[in-house]
Amino acid sequence: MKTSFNTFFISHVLLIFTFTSLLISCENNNNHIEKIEGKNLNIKGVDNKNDKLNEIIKPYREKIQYLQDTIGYCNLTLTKKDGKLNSSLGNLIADIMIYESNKVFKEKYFKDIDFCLLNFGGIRSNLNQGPITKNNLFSIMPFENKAVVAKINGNKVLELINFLNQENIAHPVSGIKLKLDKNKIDNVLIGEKKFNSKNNYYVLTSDFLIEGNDNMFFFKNPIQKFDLEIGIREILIDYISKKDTIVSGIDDRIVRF
Amino acid sequence: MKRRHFINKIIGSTIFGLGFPLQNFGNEILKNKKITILHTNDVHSHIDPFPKDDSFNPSRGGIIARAKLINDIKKDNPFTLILDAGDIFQGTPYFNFFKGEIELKLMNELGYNAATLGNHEFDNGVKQLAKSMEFANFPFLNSNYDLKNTPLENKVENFKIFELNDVKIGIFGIGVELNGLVDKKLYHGVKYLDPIEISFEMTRQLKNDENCDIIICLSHLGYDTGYMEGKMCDLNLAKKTKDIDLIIGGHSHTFMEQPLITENLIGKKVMINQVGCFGLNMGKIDFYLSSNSNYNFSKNLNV
Repeated sequence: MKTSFNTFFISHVLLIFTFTSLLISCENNNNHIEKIEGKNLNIKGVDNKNDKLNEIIKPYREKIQYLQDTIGYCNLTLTKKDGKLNSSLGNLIADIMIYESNKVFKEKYFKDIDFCLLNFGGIRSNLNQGPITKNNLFSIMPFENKAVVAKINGNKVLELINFLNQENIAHPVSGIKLKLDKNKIDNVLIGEKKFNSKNNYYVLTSDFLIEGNDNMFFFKNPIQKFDLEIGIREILIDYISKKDTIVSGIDDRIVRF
Repeated sequence: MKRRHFINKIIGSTIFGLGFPLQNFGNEILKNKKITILHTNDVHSHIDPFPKDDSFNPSRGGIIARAKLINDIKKDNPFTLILDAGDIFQGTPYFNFFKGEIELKLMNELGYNAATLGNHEFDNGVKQLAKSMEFANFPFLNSNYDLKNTPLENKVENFKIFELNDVKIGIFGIGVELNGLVDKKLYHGVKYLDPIEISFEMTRQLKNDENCDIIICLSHLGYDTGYMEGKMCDLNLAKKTKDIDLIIGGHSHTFMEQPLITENLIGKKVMINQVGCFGLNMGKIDFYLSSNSNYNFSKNLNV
């Protein structure tokens, strides 16, 4: 038995405890829990063979094999977790989104998008250094969400900024620059201009978040909503396919004093 | 009396802690039984292992390695259940293209006994979920979603009781509030009910009516609430309920180094475990039970 664990690490400490208080049982039942042991095992080992499972997977895998073709190259591994309030992967996604979506928005509605906010939880994987495949983009952005622009007033933008201050995680943003403090928010730049709570703003987000999901209530019932009719993953795939090498990193778009 | 209680407790813990066989203690015969629970959560359609050159999880995970691990453990103890705490779906093209069909077919092959519904199970809507679920030959358990008049009605069970080696194991499922997590259109008609109230009802049925020896809650609430005070989570569920022996968690992708032991509403021990995500890890919980005849020993130890 022990030898069959060769390909796996039995990680972590064996945990033992006695159930000292669970021994009172029902009349017609004489089993008593005496002890519970728990441990968490790593699953590892690419060399395992299993013909039966491979046979089940094969027809599905073949149909999506084309997603493994290289569409670009990434010069450094990007993740959503490498910065406190902005991240290399979040910045890349938000920057691509605003760049590509603004072309569509401008052509359709003759206006510019002011800034972009997506959600940290919407990024589901990392982008490894090396060749980029469509498969990678499916893992990073598996949801079938589409790009939308919400026209919201300055007070809603304030709510949005307070939300970012409170959440304190690297939600992907682009086109906005913030310095957060515990109690106050200073030096908000939208585009190149100082934020003015009397203005309305065009904010790029997803059709999921505009419904107020993930606690982004400020997006609910906007002054106006513009459906761009393009999928977020498709935007990313198109952009990366056109570029030779993808570069991104953490910067100072959102920082804390 | 108190002192004896304490000493007995110490003796008990020491014996079990060091793994001495129970039979060595006292003259009476105790039959030992071992039930093994294997569990995954938030696998998110990760069927293939991570590539060898992955920056974070090289060569880790994968359904075939999981199958090997399960088979090895089952050979060691045939009295084993395999459970999943939800978010089986969404995360790789396998789900975008085939809507959950292959994930469930493979879980059948691995011998999964039950799963609960995660929020991402709803990502293609209730109608498609009901359709996809037909590929599973194991039950989906959830007790705090009211599914009346939805396509999921009668397709999800509140709980399921398994009997292994004459041990009754009651398992019920608890799901996370879908509002804010899932597009409203996609879970239309599903009503979220209070996990605490429902857990009381489930444990009452499983313990009092069904005489289960082990009660397990498959939860997709998430391990903790983060900064959101008062939100439901496994830590709160454990604290505010009773008669649950083990909470198998999901949703928060929490990589626990080892299971947590905490106290329930009436000060009894309850174990919480969760194994991160993407099929990188698997939890293994062994229940050791004594059976019959030496009731005095137990009483001595604990009263």
